Amino acid sequence: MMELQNINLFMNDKNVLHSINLQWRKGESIALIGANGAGKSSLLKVLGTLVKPNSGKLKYPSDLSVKEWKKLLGIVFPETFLYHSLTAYENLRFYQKLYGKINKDRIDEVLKQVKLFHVKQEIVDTYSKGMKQRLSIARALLHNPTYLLLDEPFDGLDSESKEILKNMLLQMRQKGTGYILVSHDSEQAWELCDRAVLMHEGRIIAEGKCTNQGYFPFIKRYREIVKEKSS
Amino acid sequence: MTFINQVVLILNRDLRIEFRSKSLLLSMVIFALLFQVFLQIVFDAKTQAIQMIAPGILWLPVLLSAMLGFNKYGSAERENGALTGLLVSPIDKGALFLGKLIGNYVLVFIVIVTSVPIFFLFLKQPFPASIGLLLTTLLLGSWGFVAIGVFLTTLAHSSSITELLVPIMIFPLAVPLFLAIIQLTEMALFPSLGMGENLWILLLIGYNLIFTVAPTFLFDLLLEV
Repeated sequence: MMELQNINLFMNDKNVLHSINLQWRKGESIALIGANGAGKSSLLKVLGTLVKPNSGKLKYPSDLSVKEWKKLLGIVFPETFLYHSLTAYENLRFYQKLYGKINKDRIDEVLKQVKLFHVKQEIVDTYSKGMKQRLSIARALLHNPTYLLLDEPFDGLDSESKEILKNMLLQMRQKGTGYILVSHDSEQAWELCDRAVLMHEGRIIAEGKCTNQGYFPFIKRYREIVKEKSS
Repeated sequence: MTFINQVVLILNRDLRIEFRSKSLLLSMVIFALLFQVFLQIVFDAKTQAIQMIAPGILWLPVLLSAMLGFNKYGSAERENGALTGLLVSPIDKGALFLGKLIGNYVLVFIVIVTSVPIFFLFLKQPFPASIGLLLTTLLLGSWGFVAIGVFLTTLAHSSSITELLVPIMIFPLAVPLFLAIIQLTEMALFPSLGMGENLWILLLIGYNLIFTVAPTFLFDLLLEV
């Protein structure tokens, strides 16, 4: 289990994360919900070891080292991390080697999953935004991560690609891959996750299980809390 | 994956990207050649007079070309957040530094191979008295300069003024390197002018070791944010 204990993060003298406590169990999918500037992406950066918190403690699963934690982690951020002058295949091969796992079949498998197998030898620069996003997802899944961080993965995708990604996430959930999903579409995030965490101005203000009937009461409660805090 | 494999992986990727477009390599080579021609026009002097400044004229196009490379080399990483992709991966950051250093050095080496013969051709310089010393100086001197350039460029990657920061920081740090390469080049071209070449070579080797070994071991720490 990954655990954040009392995490505080300052960026440009602004406290973007306030005393965050979060437990992320293996195989658990969490929806991070909140308005722009709530601290969702900053929280993902802390989990992705991109930003070091100013105070607090990160307890990695089974007391893993940071390097071992990175091997278990897959990341989809708004930036694709792709090299635009390389082909899709070359990009994935590079990232696969980076994680020390060389398996040509796995590359073909993820390319088929994101429906890019037929264009794998084309330069990424010739791809549309949606195709790049799909390739970025393939890149993140390539090393079979146990934990996945997804920051707005549906952004820039057409409806068909959204459906592909949605099915992939549901499959991963069944296989026991845990993920944290940040999405503008909170209803969709709710549908794809086990637990929802509400954030407001760098704080976690509510948590709840993503039950079938629970979405609207949860969002209603969220709006009430935000209103209370703003007034 | 071993450290060496990681270095080779970064090097392969960088060279594949660079040789696919060739835009940076061509810019560096053309810049160096044009600069040599420009210097030939500016210093249209007698052979004797040119001896005073010959080492500087030989090195200037190479060093400025290398500077051109520092900012552009690896720009693909900055544009698409690919450096972030590397930072969140389990790669040893020292391997990242060494891979980029060797990749950049290959480009500078190509510049040397094209620019230095032009120096002798255009500036009507006699064949160097000590070709071995000249080659050693060129190889060691350019390695040192590239090492410090890659070190500073990668360190300043998150700054919005990387392009300004590197030229400002590199020259003060490279003063010992410049002293050594100018002295050694002078001795290689005109052996009667200097002595104590071993000392300068030792300085060059020491400088290279510091700026190669220290970043390799410290990069994990330095790139931690």
